[in-house]
Amino acid sequence: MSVAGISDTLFWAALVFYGLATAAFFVAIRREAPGAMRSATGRVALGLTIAGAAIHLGMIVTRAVAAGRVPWGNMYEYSAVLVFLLVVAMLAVVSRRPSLRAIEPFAMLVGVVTMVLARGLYAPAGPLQPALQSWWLKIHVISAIAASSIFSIAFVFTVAYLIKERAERRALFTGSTVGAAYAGPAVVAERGGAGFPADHLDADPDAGADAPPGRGLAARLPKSSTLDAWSYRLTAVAFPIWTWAVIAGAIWAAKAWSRYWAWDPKETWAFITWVIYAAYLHARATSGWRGRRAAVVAVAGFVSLWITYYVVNLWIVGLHSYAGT
Amino acid sequence: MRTAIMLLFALAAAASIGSFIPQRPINELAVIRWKAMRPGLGAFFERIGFFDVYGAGWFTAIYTLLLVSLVGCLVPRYRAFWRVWRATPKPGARGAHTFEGVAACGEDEAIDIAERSLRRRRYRTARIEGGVAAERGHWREGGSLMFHTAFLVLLVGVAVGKGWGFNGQVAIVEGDRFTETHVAYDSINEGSRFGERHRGFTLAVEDFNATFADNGVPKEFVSRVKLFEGDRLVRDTDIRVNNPLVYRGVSIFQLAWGWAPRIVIEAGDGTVLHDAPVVFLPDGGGWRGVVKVPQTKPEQIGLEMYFFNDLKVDERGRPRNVSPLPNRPFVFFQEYRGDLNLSAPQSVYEIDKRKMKPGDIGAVALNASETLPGGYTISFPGLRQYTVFQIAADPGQAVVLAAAALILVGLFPSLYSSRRRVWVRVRSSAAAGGEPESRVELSGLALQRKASFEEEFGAIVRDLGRQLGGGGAR
Repeated sequence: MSVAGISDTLFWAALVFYGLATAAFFVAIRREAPGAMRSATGRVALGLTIAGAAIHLGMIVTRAVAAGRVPWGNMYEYSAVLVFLLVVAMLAVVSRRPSLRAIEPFAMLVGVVTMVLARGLYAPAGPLQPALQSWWLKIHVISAIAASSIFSIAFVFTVAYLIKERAERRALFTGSTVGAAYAGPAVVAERGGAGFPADHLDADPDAGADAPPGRGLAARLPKSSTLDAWSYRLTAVAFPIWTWAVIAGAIWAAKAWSRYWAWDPKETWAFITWVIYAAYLHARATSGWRGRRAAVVAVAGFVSLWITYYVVNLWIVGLHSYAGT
Repeated sequence: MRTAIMLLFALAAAASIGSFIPQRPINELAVIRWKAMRPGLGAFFERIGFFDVYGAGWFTAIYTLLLVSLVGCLVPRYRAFWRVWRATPKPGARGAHTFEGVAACGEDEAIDIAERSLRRRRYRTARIEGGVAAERGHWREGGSLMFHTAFLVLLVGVAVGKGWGFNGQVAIVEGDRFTETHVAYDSINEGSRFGERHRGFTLAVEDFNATFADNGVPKEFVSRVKLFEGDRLVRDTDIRVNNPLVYRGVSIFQLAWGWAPRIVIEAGDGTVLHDAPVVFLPDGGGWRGVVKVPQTKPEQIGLEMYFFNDLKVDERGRPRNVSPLPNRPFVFFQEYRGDLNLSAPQSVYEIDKRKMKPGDIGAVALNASETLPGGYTISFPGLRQYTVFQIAADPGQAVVLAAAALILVGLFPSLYSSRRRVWVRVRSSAAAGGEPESRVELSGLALQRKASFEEEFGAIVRDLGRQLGGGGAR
């Protein structure tokens, strides 16, 4: 089998491992009490994920060998590398904070969906056309991939936050059910002293990640303030990378097309995504925009990120239109 | 800040419009087609500037408002930052973290040690009554100010580029020369302040090469050029995609390429009416070009031609190219006779057929010729390529790049740094057995990133404990 063929086979193998891991994570999350040790199913899911990621890395490396260039030259490769980084980022977050385990099935689901879409965008391994042969482009694309993968994990946290926050509000109003140990509204601003204004932005994100209200999946999620803080943290990591990706793209455009910015649809949507995430970071610091409203802005940012990637490449024609092939 | 957030959303929404509707500065032809399909809506969109969103008044208004709100926000922040920057660190009333210990030294020595220790951690320190106050993390606000101010700088750079720059395109056939002047360009946009400061150098294209992978995907486009200043050769180099030639602030980019068959037209008496390479533009699967012969009488002649570099006629009888290589070059032509109407402005790539009628048609392979019934001979004795350069000067680019760098550099401390205060108070206490001893109280407070400050505070306490050599917490 050719190296390109091996790469394609490894792609399918990684996808199967991820699919099984996702299913196992969904089973495990229902069985494991928050904060408890991983169940047997949970350990199997983790093992499948790590094995899948190792196979996935093999797929990316063989692809690079087959194409004789960096393995992010078209949408198929871009998506594959994005999912790999997403899985690695998820494993990194969860290994540092085991209490956040409940996001694993959701993060893996995003990864599997992206992977399936990637297969639909398959392109055979081959060289790049001249406009794409630039170091700035390579830097631009890998930065965009890295930022997107972290934004994706942040999105998982945001959605989890919205689910959890809703469950908590209901528990608060109905005084309901599971939340015996539940202390009060999630976002409690600490008062600082000595003329320092109170700061709510990153009240210890990991304090008391357990004993949450809500039923079903919501009950398994860490408390909403934890989810919110992580959503913010990850966005704050991805945002400078995205900023850098846009700048590197502009530098490349200046070298390839004589202008650094021309409101090409790809540039426009990269800018819109940047603006929405910038608004999110601002919103977090503004009273009246915290919590749910800020989370909605983060969701809008992620939607815009997907438009920037899929809709612009596949449906809107611009100078980047060759990115689809 | 709420206003700023709303304006950011407005900016995003406004920008998105231009990605769904064709934009005149990017693709004029697409705008014309779009309007032809929807005349009513097209006229309305034209009126509200939807075909040039990024140059429209309302788009400018949104970002101007954003900048006004930005400046309105920055001025007081700069003042406050200046005050805070110059102020000496002060103790807080009550820290979020506190620690009390005993040091095995006197009051003054303990204060000295505490101050040195905090300075090593890059805290600014100041002596206070019976202790020391320390503070760090001003770069959080400093970085944020840098980030926001950089947008004003960015806009200045964009404006300079628009006003003082230019941007033109020219197609040059292999072996030909181009002199960098306004009239020599095929198309050009000059900034309102550019003032015709063209450089006047001469660019000679020696050779152009396009290489392709087996599957037809282009691998490389290279133009070999010599650049002359008067008669003096100043550059002898290749221009590739992504690798422009930069000379005297002007950048020359490899933009496109095409075929330039040499077309010779002879009259029945052997007079040569036309003998030059003709630039053919890509058109569908082939290439299209025209020759205009105004000197014939009584009727002028125009040739409208299609060129195929690797001709194959498919099963439906339609000609097409099967590769990008010149394996089977053919020129098909349609002759027109009458009045070329050259007194009216027209494109060199189109024949104004209003006063012309179709004449003979024919086809000619490379190095062949064909004599038409009308007595003219058309021959195709050579094939060259042409290269298209984008030639541009953007004097604002360096400013924009610097602004982008400031945006990025400012972002890191504004997102990841945090302002924090630590203060230490020391009191001499009665020493057992005459040894000096003092009680040390530490307090700390972080404005942001409290979790990581907790760790830092712990480390400060451990450090001090070691250096003061005293007992633990009381």
